[in-house]
Amino acid sequence: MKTQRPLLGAITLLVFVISLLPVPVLIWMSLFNQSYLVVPPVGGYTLDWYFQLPMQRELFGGLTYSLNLAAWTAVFSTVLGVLAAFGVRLGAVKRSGLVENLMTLPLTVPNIVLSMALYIFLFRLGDMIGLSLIGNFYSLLAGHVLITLPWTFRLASAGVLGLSEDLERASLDLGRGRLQTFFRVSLPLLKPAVFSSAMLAFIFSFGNLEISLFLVAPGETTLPVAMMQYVETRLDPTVAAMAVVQLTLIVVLLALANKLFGFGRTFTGGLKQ
Amino acid sequence: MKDEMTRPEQDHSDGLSLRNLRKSYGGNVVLHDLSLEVGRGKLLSLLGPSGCGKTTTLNLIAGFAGMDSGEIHLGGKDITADPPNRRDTAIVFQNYALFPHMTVIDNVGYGLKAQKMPGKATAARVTKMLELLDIGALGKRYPGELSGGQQQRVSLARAIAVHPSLLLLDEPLSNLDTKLRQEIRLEIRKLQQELEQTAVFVTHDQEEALVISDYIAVLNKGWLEQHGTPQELWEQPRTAYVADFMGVENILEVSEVDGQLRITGNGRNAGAVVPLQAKEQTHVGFRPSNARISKANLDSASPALVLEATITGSAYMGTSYRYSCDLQRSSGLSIQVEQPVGEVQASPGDTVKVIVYPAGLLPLVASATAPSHAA
Repeated sequence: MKTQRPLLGAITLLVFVISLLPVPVLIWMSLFNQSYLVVPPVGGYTLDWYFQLPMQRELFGGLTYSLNLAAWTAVFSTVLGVLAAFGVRLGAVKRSGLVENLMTLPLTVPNIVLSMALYIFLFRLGDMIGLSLIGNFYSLLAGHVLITLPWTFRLASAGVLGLSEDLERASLDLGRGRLQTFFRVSLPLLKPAVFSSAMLAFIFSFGNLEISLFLVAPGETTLPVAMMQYVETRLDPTVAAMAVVQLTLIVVLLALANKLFGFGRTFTGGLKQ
Repeated sequence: MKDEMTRPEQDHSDGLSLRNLRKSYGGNVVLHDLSLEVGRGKLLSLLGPSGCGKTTTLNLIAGFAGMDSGEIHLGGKDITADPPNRRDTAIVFQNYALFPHMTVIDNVGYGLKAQKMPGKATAARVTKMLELLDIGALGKRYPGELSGGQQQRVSLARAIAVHPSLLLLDEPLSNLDTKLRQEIRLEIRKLQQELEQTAVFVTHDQEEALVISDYIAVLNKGWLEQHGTPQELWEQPRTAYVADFMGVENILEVSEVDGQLRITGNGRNAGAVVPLQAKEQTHVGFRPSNARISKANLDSASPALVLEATITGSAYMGTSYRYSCDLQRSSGLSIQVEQPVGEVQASPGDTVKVIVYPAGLLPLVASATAPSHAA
């Protein structure tokens, strides 16, 4: 990177280093050859923690459970977010900053409080209708959709508001119905917004601990919960090694999705005027 | 191969008919009882400044907006209640509105696939359209890779490709530079006549409307001011508003004083007798090129409008001089005169007579339908 402004360049670099520093530290710690955490390491380095990972049933169970949960959260949260954004645009609700801001209000409630409230609510509701609503995948999914929706709605809104009404009119005018216009014109043009919504929802869900704490089913835990349970009894680099695996997995998944949904195309740049 | 340009499958027994269209937003009426007919194969221009209701009319025809009352008939069929996708119209947008995620070919074929046209026929029609508009080489490009003029051609091709009963053009040339604008408007006109395409063209540019239209409808604040051929509007503008749009730069108020029609500027009698019948006319107008400057004394019985004026400015225009003059005996009334080179010339400060013969003098009324909007 060539720059005519050395100070700006230096500050940018510093910010990058600070925000990315945890990653090398994490990798470094996962290689400590000792079963307790002391910095700097006293026993040298080893890859043993990685080789022993397959024996950590809870952590691996948590990983697949979390991936599954995050994927479904991304799907539901994005669909709901996009629908809500279209609803606001079509005038289902009077357009004002109020709706958008109300939608983000849940973010200000501490997740742990939300989780507890959800638990109590679902428990009572289940009691009333004679069904067990807690301790299953669906209540957990609902919780995760709830906390990711403000984000997906925000991103989808930005995309939907940027959609030119004339493009949809052109499609209608050329004989396509509302539904076809949505799937052939609106949605393809929203691809960047939809994709970033889904990505964000996935990452938020995957890393979330608090919402899951109260809602996980016995015997089925998410990765963050499994990790927390692990470090309650031992403090060795296993968790760090697991986190590195998790990180790698996410990076690969995102890169793959990016390739599949193609952001390299020039058309997102819009029309030349 | 069947000629794509003939359209035996479509019956334009009738063109477009707008009957008493009325549209309001809130309490604000933007279209008052508009009635217009466009014969099959003809091009009608809706002319007026922004806010006159021309784009609203277009949106009503396309079905993008509902109206308070009125009926729209196309090809002898009442389409008032039809949604946009059921109306046999195709629109060319001001900003082109090309689908940025589709190639030129897919854009032009978009409406044909909606008609369930088979793939081969679609491909043939698209190729034909691209050739027709001289963009055959651009088929695989995306709209973002095209210039404004090229996008405009794609947009036209996309609309014409579906063989609509009615082509709607919403200021399609206003985003292009002057040279390109003149070039493409002639092409649109040629294409429209060759295809015998019924069309409604929205514009705020008087010159554009004159060049391209069979008929022009001038709109003012939601009222239809005048409707006629370009020649009729140019030669016989009925209202001061239309005259102003048609390049009649000198429009003066008149009123009857002592049984004669006289020029009155800002409520004061400017003296000059107007050699025209007094009817309901409230103004007279004349083009700068229809007025002459004279320094000699004229026979007072001469059947012409004679105005005493002081030259305030002159500009050389190549074949003529253009003079700005202040009328005497009136406060602040100013007129423009275009005097051919070779005739009498004057300099700023000179007191002259400005003569307009009856042939160049246009009797005008304030406004056709709108109450109390004197221009």
